[in-house]
Parts: sequence; C-alpha cells; structure tokens
Amino acid sequence: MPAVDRTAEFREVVELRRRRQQGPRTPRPAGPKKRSDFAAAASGIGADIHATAAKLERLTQLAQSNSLLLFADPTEEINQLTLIVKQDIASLNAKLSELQRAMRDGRGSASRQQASHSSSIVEQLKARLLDSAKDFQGLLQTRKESVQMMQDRRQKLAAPTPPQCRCADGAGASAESHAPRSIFECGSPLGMATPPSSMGAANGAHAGGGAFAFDAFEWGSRWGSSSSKYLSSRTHAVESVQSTIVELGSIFEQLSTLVAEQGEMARRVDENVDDALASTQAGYEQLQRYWRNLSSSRGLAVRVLAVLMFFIVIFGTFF
Amino acid sequence: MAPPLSAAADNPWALRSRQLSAISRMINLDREEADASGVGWHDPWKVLVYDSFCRDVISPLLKVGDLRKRGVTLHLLLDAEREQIADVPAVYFLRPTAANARRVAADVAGGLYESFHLNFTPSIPRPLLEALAAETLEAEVVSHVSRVVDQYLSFVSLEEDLFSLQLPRAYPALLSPKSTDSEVEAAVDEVASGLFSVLVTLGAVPVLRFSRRGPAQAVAEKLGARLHAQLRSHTSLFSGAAAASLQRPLLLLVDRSEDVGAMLQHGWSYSSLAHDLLGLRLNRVSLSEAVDGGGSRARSYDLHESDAFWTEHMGSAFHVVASDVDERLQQYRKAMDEISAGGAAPLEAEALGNATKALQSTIAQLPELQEKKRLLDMHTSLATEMLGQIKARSLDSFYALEETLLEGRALSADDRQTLSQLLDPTGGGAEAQGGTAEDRLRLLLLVALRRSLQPGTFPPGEAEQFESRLAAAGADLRPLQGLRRLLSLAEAAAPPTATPPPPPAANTFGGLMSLARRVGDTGVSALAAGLKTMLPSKRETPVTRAVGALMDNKGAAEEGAYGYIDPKIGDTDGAGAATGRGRGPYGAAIVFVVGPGNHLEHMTLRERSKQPSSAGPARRVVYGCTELLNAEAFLSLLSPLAAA
Repeated sequence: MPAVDRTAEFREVVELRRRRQQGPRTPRPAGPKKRSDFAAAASGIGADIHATAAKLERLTQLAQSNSLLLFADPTEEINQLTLIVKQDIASLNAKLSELQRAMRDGRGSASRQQASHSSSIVEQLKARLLDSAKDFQGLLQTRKESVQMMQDRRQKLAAPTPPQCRCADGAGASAESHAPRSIFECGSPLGMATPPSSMGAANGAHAGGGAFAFDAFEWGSRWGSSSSKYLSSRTHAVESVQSTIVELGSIFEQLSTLVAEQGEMARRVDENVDDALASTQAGYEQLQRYWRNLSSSRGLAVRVLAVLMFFIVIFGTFF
Repeated sequence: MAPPLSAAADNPWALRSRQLSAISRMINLDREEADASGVGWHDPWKVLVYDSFCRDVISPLLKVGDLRKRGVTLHLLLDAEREQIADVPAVYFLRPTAANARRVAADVAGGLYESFHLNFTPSIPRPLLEALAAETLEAEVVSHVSRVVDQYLSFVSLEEDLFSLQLPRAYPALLSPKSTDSEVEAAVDEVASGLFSVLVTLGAVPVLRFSRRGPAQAVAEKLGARLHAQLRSHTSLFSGAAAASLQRPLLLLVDRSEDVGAMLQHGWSYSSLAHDLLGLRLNRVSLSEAVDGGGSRARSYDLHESDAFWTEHMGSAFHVVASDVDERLQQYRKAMDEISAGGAAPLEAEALGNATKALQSTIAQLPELQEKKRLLDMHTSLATEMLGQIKARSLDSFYALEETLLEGRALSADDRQTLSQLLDPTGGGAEAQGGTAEDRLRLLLLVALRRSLQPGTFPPGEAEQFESRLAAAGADLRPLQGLRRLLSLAEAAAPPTATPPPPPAANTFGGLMSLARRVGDTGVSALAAGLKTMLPSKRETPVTRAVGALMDNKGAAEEGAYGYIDPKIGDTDGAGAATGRGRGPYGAAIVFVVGPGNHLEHMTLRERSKQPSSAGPARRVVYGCTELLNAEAFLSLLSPLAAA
C-alpha cells in the first residue's frame, strides 16, 4: 500500500493549535450543505441507472439459464423484466434530456468550469445509459434468436399434427391454460413439470378433473390446440422483442448524438495545456502584427502630418 | 479495467501497472476499484487538481477518457484559474511545497469545492502540515479537509520497466562545480526520495549496490538511511504480503560518467530513434506537418503500451519496423476489401438472417479496424519522418561506425575512411556524407571517449586534426571540453581500480549488407531498402556488464568496484559486508542511472536481460534515470561544464 493516511495527524495538529490559540471551542459544524438541484437530479439518475443495470443483470441470468433448459422457459418473468427495463431506460432517457435542458438553461448563470463540470456529468450518465441500453439490445437479440430456435425445434417435433386440430377451439378452457407450456407437459398431464404460478390454479383443476379421462380425440385436440396456442404466444414474444428493439433504436439515436461529442476522450491530460500555450502564442503573434501595423501607420501619419505642416508653412509665409 | 492490470498479476515488477492502480485508488477516494461498479452506488463525480509535476505523472497513465470513467469531470492545474463548484469533492494531487500548500489553503478558505482530499507525493513534512492546519483554521473551514494522504508516486513510469524521476534540475546541480553544498544536498535528497517512491510502489526493500564514482554513492547512502529508518518505524510502508513473498531485488545505482557513450550514440532501434530524432517525451512525439495553405501544424502521437505494434517493435531495427508497417498496412487493406466484398454479396431471403448477423459483426468490428488504421497511419508517418532524417544525415553510417568505436573493436581501413569523411564538415567526396554539426560533434565525442579508454586506437595527432577541422568549420566544441572534465572528475572520485578493458565483443556486423538503392516504389520499406540492414545494439555496455555481474552475485572481480548497503540490517560496506551478504543470484534488479538516461540504454538493458543467463529463470530489469534526455539535450548539458 503505497499511501499513508495522515488525516488523523492533521486533525491532531488542528486540535492542538485550536486549543493553544483560543481555548477550546466547538468547531463550526460543517452541516449538510444544500446541494444544487442539478447535482441531486444527476445523483438520482446515476442511482437509477445503477439499479437498471442490476435488473439487466438479473434478466441476463434468466435468459442464459433459459437457453440451457430449452423447455422450462421462464417466459413470464423474462417478459415482465423486459418490460420494466424497457420502461426504465425510456424514462431515464427522458430524465436525462430534461437534465440536459435544465443544464443548458442554467448555463448563462453558471461559470465556465461549472458548466463543463455539469456537461461532463451528463455525458458520463449518457454513456452509462447507452452501455446499459446496448447490453439490453444484445440480450434481446439473443433472446429473439433463442425463441425462434425453440419455435423451429417445436415445429419439427410437432410436425405430425393431426387434422383434428381445427376443432381445437372447442376443447375447453382447461386446454388454454397449457398455452405457454411445453409439449412434454401436455403429453404427461400428471403435471410433472411445475406449472407457472399464475396458472397454477387452473392447471391444478384440470389435472384433478380430467387427467385420466383422455381418449384419442381429446389427446389429438389437446396436442393441436396447445401447439397452436404455443406458436401464437411465441410469435407474440418475438414480435414484442422486435418492437422493443425498434424502440431502443430511437433511444440510441438520441443518446449517440451526445456520445459522439466525446471525441476528446482519447486526449491526454497534458494536451489542454499545450493547446492553451499554442493559443497564447498565436494571440501574442497577432498582437505583434497589430503593433507592426500600428507603428507603420503611425509612421505614415507622421509623414502625412509633416507634409501638411510643410504646406501650411509655405502657404503661411508666401500667401 | 485496463489491460496492464492483468500484466501485473504475473509480473511483480510491473511498475507502470502498480502506479496506475495506486493512482486509480487515489482518484476513487480510496474506495476499491470494484466497489465503483459493485453493490452500492456512490456519486462518483469529483474534480482533480494537480500541479505540473503530478500532471506529468498522470498523463502517460490515464487519458481524459480514463479519468472520466473514474468520475473525474474536470482536471485542472493548481495554478490555473479555477472557479467555484460548490457541490463536488476535489482530489488534490500535489508535491508538498510551501507555495502549493498556500494555494490549497486559499482554496479551502474560499470554499471552492465541497470537500478536499489532499494527496501529497512524496510525504508532506510536518512543518508544512502545521502551516496548512494553521491557515485553514483561521478561516474556520478546516472540517472541509476530508483527508490528508501521503502518496509515494513521485516518478513517471513510461513502461513496465522504465521510469524517470522527471528531475531536470537534479543532475546539473550535482554536476556543476559552482553549485553550493546545500544545492547538492537538495538534489541528492530529491533523487533519493524519488527512488524511495519507486521502491514503495514496488513494495520491495532491495539490496543497494552503488558505484563509487560521482554522486551515486551519496544518493545510495541517503536512500539506505531512509529505508532503514522506515523499516524501523511502526508505520511500515513495506508490510504488504507481496513484499514478504518476493525475493529481494537488487538496486544498482550507477553514475552517468560510467557510460557516457550511451548518451551520445545514434540509435537504431525504433524507440531510440523516436527519442533521438523526434523528441519522444512522456510517450508522445510531435511532428510538424505541412497544412494546406502554408504553415505547419504540430501533430502529436501517443506511443503507449496498448499499441501492440509499438510494444513489439520498440527494440526492433529500423528496417524491420519499416517493412512491418508496410506488411500490416497490406493486411489491413485486405481485411477492408474482404469486408466490402462481404457487404456486396447477394442477399437471398433465406440468408437474410445470417447476412444481418454478418453485417452486425462487421459494424462491431469497424471501430476496431478504424483504431488499427489510425495506429498504422501513425507508425507510417513516424517511420517516413525517421527515414527522411536518416537518409539526409546518413545516420546508418554514423551508427555503424559508432558501434565499432564503442565496442572497442579495431577500426578497419574502411572505417577510418568513413570516419574522416563523416567528420569532414564540408561533406567532401563523391558520395556526400551528410550529418548535421551535432551528429559530427557526437561522433567526435565518441572518438574522444574511445581514446580515453584505449589511447592507442588512433595515431597521434589524428583526433586533434578532426577537432581543429570541426572548429575551423565553426562547430561549438564546448561539449567536448565538458566531456573531458566530466571524465576527469569521475576519475578523480573513483578509487584507484583499473577500469577493465572492454572485452573483445562478438562481431555482430560481420555481414553488413548494403542493399541496392531502390527508390520509386511506394511504401516505407521499399524506400528504406537503401539503408544498411543492421541490428540494434546488443553489445555489452559498462552498465549491462555491471548488472550481469552483480545479479549473478558470484563474487566476480567487478563487484569490488561497487559499494554495498543492506537497508534491512543497516549494514554499510565496512561492517559485515563480506559475511552478511547472501551468495544467491538476484532474480530482479532496478538499475538507476544518477543522471540522464535514454531509450537506447533502456532497450540495450532490456535485450540483455532477455538473454538466458546462468541464473536460469528470466531476469527482470527495471531501468530508471533522473530524466530522459536525448543527445541534443545532453550536449547542451555538457557545455556549461567546459566553462567551469
């Protein structure tokens, strides 16, 4: 550890001096300073982005575990989280633009360094949000792919669908509860796979009521109905993912304009000074040129004046 | 976060990574790096305030973007005009000087920032701390000072194995006969505390060996005493686990006068050419390039460790660099062609998904390729600039001849002819030998150096003839007198041990090939074909020889010339030197030149330490100096010596 904290020593020195000088006196309490609205807002947004990132992480975990267990798909939770994250990102984006607007409005009153301080904060927040949004987009992309893959596989497995499936609509409400579940669940109605919690009740009723009463027709209709329901739900999932991607695209556009301004990121710390030096020199050169101009025109003025005087003298003496 | 951090894991002597992580920790207000992205969310925003020295420390390590990532919204010089930003903490990174302390106290009193984290490098002395306390106490704002920390970061690390103390005034003060005792004392102190910083950052207590010539001994004694005192005090800077597990390194302090040749020779490796010809400073070079509409504009390029081409070719010979730049450029063009060809492929409905994916990966690749292109362009323009100077000044001939001179080989008739040609200021002869006055002066100084080691090399009167010829052409010969004085001072200070004559070195230039001049092709390599193909120097210098012998630690004759201090037992040379020291070889060494150094010497040391040794495993050698100077600056340093 190449650092030695000497704060304690400093405080000790301060105490010692204070006692020596004016006797014991309570130090003026620092007090919680009133932070500017900007700082508070920026801090809030920062914390929100952080929270969103945590949600995103959870979502990633879900999506990854999902790709391992092809048929036990926590679709519900993923969809919910996706929705939440989407809303988060959209609202954060709105908040950020608001913050930026407030910053621009306040720019007149703030000092130059204050202004660049706040714009740097906004930039950083935007960059962070953009990172999160990018992660989110990547996640949605893979999610879309895996959903499509599952769909393909399912289509292959469910290819010999009996024609009776047309009348599946009348098969009863219990069949509908199967919609988002896998084919194996349908094939073994004893409920071996754990049903999604929201549909637990309906499923339980079904399993108790008619589990052992299958005949061939019911089997077929159930198969077909659940398959088509499943398909439609999957199509729906793909569509929603796609629409989310499109929405994200617009957010990207807004964010990237700002991030594009970060070209200076690769600059070195000591470059600013060089620039300042260069501009100082340029200014000096301009001044010198101006001085030369001035002095040459002064010479001219002197000469013109001399000629004038000459004429005045001549006119004065001869006329 | 940064790639060098991974390098630190397998190399305990990665100085740059260690300094970087220390600075990151300082900027993160001592929260751990992981914590910033971990569970809790803190407002990371802060303002960084530094003085010019500390700016030099930071600038090769962290770019503006890196600072931003660490939450630094503004980075300002202490002396610059700074405006109030009342709701942000400020991190100060300063040298503990009285002026800095006053300025800090004024900032605190003015309530410029919300809170103040004061970091001083190296440690702030007690009187200054008291002054700071008194001034902030007056204004009743002392509670705004959140922390006062001693950082030991007073050095600039440019590579994992290269550092500079960035003390341009230290060596002239040590050298000049005019400087007073207190000036010399202050310079020695500065150098010793810079080295102390390096050792603290590495977390190792080395065994000190020092040459008895010049100020190296004074520095070593000061440093030894300081380390010893530190080890005995309870606030131990060296108590880290890393320090315990590591084998102790060797710290070798040599004096510049031991190998002046390295400072004067022309380089042939990429980094030494960049330093010598283009003025590489703090890993950055500036080229002036013509702008449309007249005038020129300075353009600077960064050469740092994330640039693979640079790290690979730092020590390569120039013609290798030139041909490799061309090759990479061809590769890049090929890659670009492939991408554009892929984009134009017909899209069928089935393949649409795949095509989109391919397009996405291409887009993801683009920034990477762009960065590659930027780096290649940079190296192309650097190499072109170097090539222009090499050709105009016949630096290949200079280099070859100087190498012969420094190796101590006998000069052939050809060599003698080239020598007299190169030293001819009128540039006579059919094949005009270029070179600037400075190049000739450097060669002349090397001739003088060779004569001081082996007086019989030149027929009597020949060297004087060269001198008078240069003087007649209006050359400033003060550096030559300065060099003579430097050598005589060093001789006087040295104990009467005979300098061992340089051993006959292997003839690395047996097959000096001069390829036919072939100009007209584009590309740097084709243009460079006219140059002699030479290897960058791998010869033994006095410094590499000393490092080798002392790291082997077998009691070779050379060891006697170097003093010994073990700070752990406060052992100085006289006491238990012979009994106390272990006889094992050292695995790592820090070589520090008391005086200026350059990239040529750094590369030579790196090459030598790579070669297999009797010790077995690879050796780590870290090279440092008080400042990095190229030959031009070194010559101007020698001139004032002549007058004294």
